[in-house]
Amino acid sequence: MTGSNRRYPFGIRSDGSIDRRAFLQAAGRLGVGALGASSLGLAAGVARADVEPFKIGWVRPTTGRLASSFSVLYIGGLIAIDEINKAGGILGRPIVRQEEDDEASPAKEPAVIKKLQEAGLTYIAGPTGSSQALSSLATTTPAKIISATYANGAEMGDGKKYPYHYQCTFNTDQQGEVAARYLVDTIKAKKIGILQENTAFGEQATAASRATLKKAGVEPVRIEVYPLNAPDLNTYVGNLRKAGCDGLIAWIANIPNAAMAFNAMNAQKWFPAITGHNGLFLDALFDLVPDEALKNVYGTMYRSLMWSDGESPGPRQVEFAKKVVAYPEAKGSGTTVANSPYYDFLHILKMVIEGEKTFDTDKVKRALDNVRGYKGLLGTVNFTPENHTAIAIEDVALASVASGKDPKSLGVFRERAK
Amino acid sequence: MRDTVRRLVDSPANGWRLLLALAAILYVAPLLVGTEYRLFVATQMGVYVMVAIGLNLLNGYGGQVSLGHGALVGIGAYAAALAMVDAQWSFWPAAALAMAAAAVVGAMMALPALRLSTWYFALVTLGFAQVMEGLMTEWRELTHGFAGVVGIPQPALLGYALPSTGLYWLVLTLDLLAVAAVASLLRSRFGRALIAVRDNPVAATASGVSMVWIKMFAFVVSAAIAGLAGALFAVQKTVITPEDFTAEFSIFFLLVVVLGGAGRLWGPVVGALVFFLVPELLAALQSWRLLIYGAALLVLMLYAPHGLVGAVEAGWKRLRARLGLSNIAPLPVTGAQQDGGIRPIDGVALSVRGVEKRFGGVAALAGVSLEVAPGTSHAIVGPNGSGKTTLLNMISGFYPVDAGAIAVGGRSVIGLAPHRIAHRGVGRTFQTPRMMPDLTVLDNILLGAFMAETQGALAATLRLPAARREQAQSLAEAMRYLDFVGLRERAMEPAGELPHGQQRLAEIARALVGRPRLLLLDEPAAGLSLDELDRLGELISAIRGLGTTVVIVEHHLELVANICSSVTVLERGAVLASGTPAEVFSNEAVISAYMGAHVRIEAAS
Amino acid sequence: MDLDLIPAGLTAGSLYALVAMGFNILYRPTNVFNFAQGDLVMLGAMVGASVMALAGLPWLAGAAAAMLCVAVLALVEERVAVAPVLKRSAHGHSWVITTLAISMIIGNLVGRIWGPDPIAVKPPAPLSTETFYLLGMAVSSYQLALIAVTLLLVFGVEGFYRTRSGKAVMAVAEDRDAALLRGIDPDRLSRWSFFLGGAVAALTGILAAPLLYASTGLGPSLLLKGFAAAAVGGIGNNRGALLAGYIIGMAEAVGAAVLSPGYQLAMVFAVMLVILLIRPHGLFGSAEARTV
Repeated sequence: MTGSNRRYPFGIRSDGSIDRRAFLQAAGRLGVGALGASSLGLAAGVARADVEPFKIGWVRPTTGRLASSFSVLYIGGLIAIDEINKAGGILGRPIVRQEEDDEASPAKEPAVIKKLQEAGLTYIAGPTGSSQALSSLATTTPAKIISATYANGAEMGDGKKYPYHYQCTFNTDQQGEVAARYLVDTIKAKKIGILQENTAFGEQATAASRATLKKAGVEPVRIEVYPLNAPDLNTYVGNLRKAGCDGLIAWIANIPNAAMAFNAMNAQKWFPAITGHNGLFLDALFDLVPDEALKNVYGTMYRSLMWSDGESPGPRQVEFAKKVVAYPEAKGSGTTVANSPYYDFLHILKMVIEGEKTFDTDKVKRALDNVRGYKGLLGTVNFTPENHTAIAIEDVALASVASGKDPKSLGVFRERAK
Repeated sequence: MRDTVRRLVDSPANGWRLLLALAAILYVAPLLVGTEYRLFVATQMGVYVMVAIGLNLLNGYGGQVSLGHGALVGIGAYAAALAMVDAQWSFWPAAALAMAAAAVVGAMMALPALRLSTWYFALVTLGFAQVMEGLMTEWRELTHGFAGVVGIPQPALLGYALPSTGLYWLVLTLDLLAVAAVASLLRSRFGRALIAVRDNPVAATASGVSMVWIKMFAFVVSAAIAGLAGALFAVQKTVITPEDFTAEFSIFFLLVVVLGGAGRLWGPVVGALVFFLVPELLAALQSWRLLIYGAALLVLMLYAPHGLVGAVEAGWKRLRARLGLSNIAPLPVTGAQQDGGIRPIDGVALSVRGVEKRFGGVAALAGVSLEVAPGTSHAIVGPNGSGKTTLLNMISGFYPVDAGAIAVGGRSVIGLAPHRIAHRGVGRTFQTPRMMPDLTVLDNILLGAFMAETQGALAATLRLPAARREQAQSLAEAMRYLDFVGLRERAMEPAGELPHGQQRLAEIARALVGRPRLLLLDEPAAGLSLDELDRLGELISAIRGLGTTVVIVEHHLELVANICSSVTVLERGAVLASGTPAEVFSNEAVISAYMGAHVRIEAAS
Repeated sequence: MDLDLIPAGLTAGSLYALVAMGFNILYRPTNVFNFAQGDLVMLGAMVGASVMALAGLPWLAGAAAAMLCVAVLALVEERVAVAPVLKRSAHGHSWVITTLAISMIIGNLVGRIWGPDPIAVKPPAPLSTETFYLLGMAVSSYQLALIAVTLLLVFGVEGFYRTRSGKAVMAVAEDRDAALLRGIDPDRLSRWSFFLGGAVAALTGILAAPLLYASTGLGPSLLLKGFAAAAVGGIGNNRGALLAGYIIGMAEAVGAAVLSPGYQLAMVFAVMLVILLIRPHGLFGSAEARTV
């Protein structure tokens, strides 16, 4: 690696040049995070022998209350950068992140994107969140910046509307459909209810589930929408119970609310079959809710991250799971790390850019639009000029929440629902 | 060297030159150093500055804490965005709609809040903002719910969509216009009334200002400005979602105003500038940024309690003092109208019949009657707690009447609000002078002209010739009355720095500027020096000479005997005696009630 | 109407009343609204949860540790952010900024100390969050205890205000300068009030944790409704805050049963507005002193 056994602080080699990766890791250990562009430029200048790094915008909150919960969503991206750089970067250029703090605020996005644009960046990972993504896409689209945001709304994968955005995940419509179909087809629930958080995600997911139910000729017996700051969910759960639900679709994306809902069911000794969001896979739930209340709970996830009697996750997924362990902050949220779009986005970029042998965004965009059958971490990726949602519904399935306690999960995988 | 600095500092024209130079730099800057990013941030800052300018009018000058301004921006943004995207309006009518919508919602927000004091007002605005945020998602058919409004087009001028530089210039121009509009408004009767409502509501009411009306006015103007800013917010961002307009967004504007300097004209501009610049400067510190920022904010506020502009002003004053320059502005030039004397006033009769008032179980007034003929002066005397001031408060409407009748000029004033009674021609002063201590003596006195002026808010904002003429007249009138009470030389000093006795005289001048037909004076002689006492006597005689009816509550019986044609003596809320001073002060019952005072009575007769 | 709404409304209402009481304790001698109050509540929950769940301290010891910790922090806040600005002007609004700055600092620090996951806090034995039926209503022993503790605290604190020290606090609230003349030291009372207000905030967080879970997002949602309870009850009045907390909690519970979230908010607001329009100084608030 360095050609010398002696270790110098900050990755400075014995000949005075700098090993950039070691430098970055050292900087990271110091808690500096990504240094500003200037210090990276300095590093590049000192490392005479190196080629210019490939800078990619990294938009996430680094300050404020949401900083820690959002940081795990970018670990997949960090792993990908590490893998790619170890393999020689993209077209020989190592990836370097240029981090910008969006404070998770939609109002900040345009400025943040413009700043990256002016620094000459044409590829961006982030932001996370649907309002944030909408805001940033309004700027990245006319600027022809290729980006992957973490927002699952179906319209985010519309290649006509957002031609430079690639949704490297499933979308909320697919999630809504899978969750509804399972209750109808497999559980054969007669009376289906929906418990939904009052957010953009909740609204979209409920609409998708209702559309699926309607196709199956089922009308939900009750839909309960709760505000995020509700002091308890007993009333909502009670209403669903009294409506006689035997199957429940739960669009709950945060753990305190999920715990409130399941504890309310536990208190009412009512355990219908529940299908819901991938956020239910967080280990923190096990501390907050008795096991009994989680037995019949299933979350939507990627088939590639599940095991069942006949199948188990592939080698790429297992290798990924092992790497996640190296990040202490990912403890208890392995599935969340894996479900994020940034790992696949970066690997697809590498493949396409190296295939085209250019970083030119127009050429790369055309090539991205023709990606077919790429085996990603989350499933088989297919893009067309119209469809920018990477994952097909066949790769989306339901997994048992309780299986997170199984050692087979490696903190990341879950058992497929039978 | 020192002289050069002195000249630079002392010339008021230099202030204007500096302002013009700064404005020119702001206009030219994008052509020289403009990048898309800087332009975007600068434009966004301009939009926030506009909201803050409006909020400063309400909070800084009006003293009303609104925690709901973010929602008003949201209303404006949604109104403009929906009109442009769903109804294909062009930007300009959409911006007008945004202003109107925000003003209407602002009025709705203010309506219940006006009954409440500061922090309840804050709570109601906060709650209202939350409800608005909720409705933005709930009213899906109109607002598109969580999906928000996307694809908001750029404003077009003469058929061409403005480029980002154009939008920057538009926002900059509108900001400067907003500052100018607020500045002219503040120099008019509306501004003084607003500040009076903040600093001394009683003085405002006694001068004929309707508290409810002026607060509502400030809120609606402030909301309309927020609405316009919302329209600009929408076109600049091109996408809006309900999540843009949270409670934090509202609180942010309050922070900007207080940081920059509440009640300072340029406070919101400086506050926003610092808010945008400091985090940018700290960007290299990444995740420690907001932490350091919070600490900096704390330290700043500890050392600059009146905001940054307040700190600069204080420093400026110190600098001028060190250069031996006065911090008191020169007397204004009042023009030709000054030559005219004070016009006579048509005094009115006061009739009080059987008035009763109880506080808790205690009868403060038990059937008091008195009659004062037009143009005469009447004294109300009596020991402390005999109900004198209570009677004045009931005549001027500050206390409701339990029973009985009060008529001014033959018309009943029972049940009228104090500012309405002021409009009937009743002026008054208070036991402790009610001044706005930070304003100049002149401004305090000009407050009294609130009723005499007729200009509307729009005329005042645009500084139409008629409005300026009227303002010049009021100024000349105020200077005449300052002359009249002998305070001309101190006109430009802060009223709070005047000695107590002079504040009293100033308060009388303020009442007189309103040309009262009935003037109620509450213990005007208390705390006056002998010299001032003489002047007061002359003054009251002169006031009566103008034709005004004067009712005076006073302990100083010598003064009363000299200047009043009739006297009513109150004891324990009832009339003990009434008649001419000579009759009353020789009355046995009065002498025994007054015990210690009889020496002075002898002296007086 | 469902009887279960009653314990739900009362439980939530008790929490709002506790937040409001924290506000009030600080407000009384200082006339300051602590914008960082929500953060203190959250911090109480996080510290309490950490020492109980992670360090294994028993409930009482954990609660005491958290209360002491947050109380000291509130005291620091008073020294650093409130006392200096009050010394300069008792009527200025600088404290809006300084307490917001404290909120900003705490908010950014907790994100670095604690991760995003909520921490489970078990109620102290023998209480439990398991529900049983009482008079046809589903309640848990913990809910009952929470309601009772809130009642005790409110009346305890109100009782304190009738003592000599309590009256001194009220005197300072009315007129700082006059109190000074009567030999009361307003500074000392401010310090104590922040210390106690911090302790009450921490206790609120700890009491809320078994129901709402200890997470960094706990503060903001309680802050607004706590502020509303304080105002509706009459600022400074704890019995008023209790009643107002119950009203807001009940309005919310009933709203949850019949309305969609946007309209729930509108309903809580409408209830609040109606009360304030009928009684502009809150349920138990007294009108300001005569102005003329």
